[in-house]
This record gives sequence, structure tokens and C-alpha cells, in this order.
Amino acid sequence: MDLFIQVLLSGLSVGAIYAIVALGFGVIFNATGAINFVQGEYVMVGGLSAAMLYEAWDVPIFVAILVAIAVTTVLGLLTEMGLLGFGRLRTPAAITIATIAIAVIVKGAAMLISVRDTYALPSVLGSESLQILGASTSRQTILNLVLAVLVVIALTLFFRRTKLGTTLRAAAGDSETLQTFGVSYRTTARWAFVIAAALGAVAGAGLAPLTVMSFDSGTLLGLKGFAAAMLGGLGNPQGALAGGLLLGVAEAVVAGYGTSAYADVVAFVVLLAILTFKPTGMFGTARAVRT
Amino acid sequence: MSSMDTNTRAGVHERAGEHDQTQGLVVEGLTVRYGRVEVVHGVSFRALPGQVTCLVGNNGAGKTTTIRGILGLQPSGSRKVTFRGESLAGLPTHAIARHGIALVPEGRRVFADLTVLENLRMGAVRRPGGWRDAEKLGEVFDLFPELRERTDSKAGLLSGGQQQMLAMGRAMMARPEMLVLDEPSMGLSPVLVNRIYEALVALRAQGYTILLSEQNANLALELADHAYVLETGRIVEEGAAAELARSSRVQAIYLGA
Repeated sequence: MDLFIQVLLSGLSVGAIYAIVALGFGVIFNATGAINFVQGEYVMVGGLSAAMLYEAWDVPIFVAILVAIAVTTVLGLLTEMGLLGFGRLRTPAAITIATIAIAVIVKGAAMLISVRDTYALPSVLGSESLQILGASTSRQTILNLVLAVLVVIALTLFFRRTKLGTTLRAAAGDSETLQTFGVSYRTTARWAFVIAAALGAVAGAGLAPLTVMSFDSGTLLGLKGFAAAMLGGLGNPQGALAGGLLLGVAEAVVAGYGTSAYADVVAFVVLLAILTFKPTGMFGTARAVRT
Repeated sequence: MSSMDTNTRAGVHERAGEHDQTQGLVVEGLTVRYGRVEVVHGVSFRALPGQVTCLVGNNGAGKTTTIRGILGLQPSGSRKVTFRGESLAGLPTHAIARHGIALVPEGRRVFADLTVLENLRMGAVRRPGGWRDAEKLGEVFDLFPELRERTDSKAGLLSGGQQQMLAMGRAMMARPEMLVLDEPSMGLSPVLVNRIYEALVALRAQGYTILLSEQNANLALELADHAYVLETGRIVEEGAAAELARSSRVQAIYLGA
């Protein structure tokens, strides 16, 4: 029983991070129809730069996290400028492919800047452990869960209640018609990339205390976040939360009761299964597309 | 715009007469492609300010393609496309819209996941203060009371007729100089078609410049001042709407021949 609670908590803690990464995929998918493979790198940049600032430059932890989020958000803006501005890409397929190139560039730049070192970031809540139902866990676990739920609530309110959020939903529904009301495709895309990058950075800041960050932390995280997004239904905030938590727990169960060597495989099995049997995800609904 | 609400039809025409003819939409030699295939071959026409101009033609004649070309939704070439004297050629769609042109697209294309109110607000999204434009919203609801009762419904759940009203209301919210309506009667029952055309009569009386594409020629020509007949991507006939309505070619289109 203790082991089960332990497994569950560590699964939820990491799963909360996957959920936030999945939200980023959803925001960009809704605005552009593309899959943004830089998403995982945003997590890496957010986590690594926060940890580097804290560890190497002795920046206070809250400042380090805020600066990391700002840096990553600018990176999101640059991604949009590169893809849609400089690259003049417009079709989802072209944008998706080009994001892979940008992901490689970001990863390479991070390798040069971090000189391949790994960095760690402590939890803002300190290192004492918490006892929950006989299991011991870090305070970061709880923080991450709260963070993921808050992010989902904030995003839902943003999309429902604000002008920009409503505009982004309209773009998700019919970006061409939105353009006939004077909103450029790039405006909505730019905001989507900025929001997705900020989400990635928050995920990175939440993940860093659970592990160590290095320049190559992002790729696998991106794929896992993508699997979580697909599991919950791409573009659906509540689905992203459910998909992320479920994937995190599934991984923890495999690692806890089986072997951690296979934990990373879980995301890919989930991805294959969902694409084969229910490509719209658990909570997604198929939508008709005019051609 | 409110000062013109009480204008009679004749009043609108007097106003139109005061304008230089280049003040409306001028299209010269427009060619539009779908992929590599050119489907509109050098179309020229004008939509004069304060008037209703109609493009009549069969399914596949190129009405929608012509409109999409003008609005930058489809790659096009032209000798000249100007609106109120300013060139629209080569501009992206959003920039063309900002010149004061609002589209009521073929198939209505309301934002299905947004509520009725949100759809209407999206029409005004680029206009300063447009998000809270209660005055224009009131005008839309006065014209289409059906929408007032369903402000919080998802637009995708509305009937076809209500969606058409919503698409028209959304375009009105942009407070445009010109309304472009692409087959507003498509797929609607005769009762609803009449309803939509009554609304268009009201909009014309408010002084909007209107460009209308229709296969349903009889009603459209009753409303329009001037009309052009499109056939396989070319204009084959033009004239005052009342005269064109009697043309055998137009009657053939109306009967679906």
C-alpha cells in the first residue's frame, strides 16, 4: 500500500508537468493546426536557465524562475518569427516539420551555453519531505499538482472570458474567416507561441526540482507531453490535464512495479495505442474540416 | 451611420451620385486561380457606393472565386482592384478587411464553438471599442430578434437561417463601408430567404454599399441596382438589375438550366 501511494504521488507529480507541456501543444495546434516540436525545448530552456541562474550565478530562486519564464517566452516569440515571418510558412505540415529544425537549433544553442553541464534547482518550498498516507514525498509533488490545476483553470478562463482568448478560439475554428475581420494569421499564431512557450517554462521550473536539467532534457519531455496531449485530445485543456496525469501515473507504475528502464517506453506505447484506436483522444471529438 | 438610418432609398441614390465613381469597389481584369487552374478569367466590374451590386451566375460560374480573389483569400492577379480609391491588389486578407470590407461568406462560416454573442463580437474585434459596442449590437438584434434570444447558444447549434443572420450580424459589427454577401440564400427555405432579403433591404436603406453574389437571381435582381452575369469565369452580360432580370440568360440561370 505504501509503495502504491508512493508510486501514485511520484506519477502525479511528473504527470502534472506532462499536462502543462500538453497544454502548450494544444494552444499551438488550435491556433495553427501544427504540432510544435519545440515545445519540449521550451521546458528544457525554462528549467535549465532557471537552474543555471540559481546555481551558477547565485540569482535568488524566484527571480531565477521569473527570468527563465521571460527568456523562454521570448524564445516562443522568436520561434513564430522564424517560422511564419522569416520562413513565411503557412501550412500546418510545413510548420510542423520546421519546428523540428528549430528544436535542434535550440538544443544545440543550449548545449553550447551550458557546456554540457547539468544543473539542479531546489524546490521553492524547501527540501523537507511530506508524509501522506504513510508515503514520503517532496513538497514539490504537491506544488506541481496545484500548479497544473491552476494553469488549467487560468487557461480555461483566459479562453472563455478574454477578448484575446476568444479570438484564439475563433482562429482555432476558422482562421480564414477570422482574417476577413482584420485579424492576421500571424497575430493569433504569435500569441499562441508566446503562451505555449510560457507554459513550457512553467513546466520546466516545476520539473527541475524533481530531476536535473541539461541541454538534452527537452526532446523526450516534448514527446511525452505530445503523448499526453494526444491521450487527452489535442487542444482540450481538461483533456491535457487528464492525459498528463494518466501518463505520469502509468510511467510511475511501470517504474515502481517493473523496471524503470521501461518507464520511458510507456509514452510511446500510449501514443501508438491512441493513434491506432482513438485518434481523437479520450475527450476529443472528431471535427469536420472543410477543404 | 445613424444619421442615415432614416434615409429613403432615393436619398441613398442622391448620396451615391455625389460620390466620385472610383469611391466604391473597382475591379479590372481580375484573374483567380485554384491551384494551377485559372477559374476566373479577367473579370471587370464596379460596386458603386450606396448601391447593391449583384454577381449572378450558376453554380461553378466563379462567383465565390471572384469574391475570394478580391479579398485575398485566393491567389489572384489583376490590372486593378481599388476600394474608395485605394489599391487592394496584393494585400493580405486581414489588411483588405481593414479597408472597411466585411464578408458574409458562402456557407455562413460562423465560429461554431463560439456563442452567438462571441461571434458578433469577433466581427468587431479589430475596431477600437468594438468588443463592447452595445449600440451596433442593438442594431443587429433589432434586425434579427432571433439572435437576441440565443446570445449564449453555441453558434454551431443554430439553424441554417439563424446562422445566416448571425453571419450578417457579425459583418455588421465590423461597421464596414461595404458588405460582401456570398450566396446568402443558399440552402435556406423560401420563407427564410425572404427574411434574409428583407434584412438586406433594410441594410441598403442604411446606406451600406453591398456586393452580392447569387444563383437565386430573381430576388437578388429585385434588390440590386446593377448586376453582372458570370458564366464560366467571365462576365457575359451586365446592366441595370431591372433590365437584366428580363434577360433570357438570367432566367435560364434561375431555372437552373
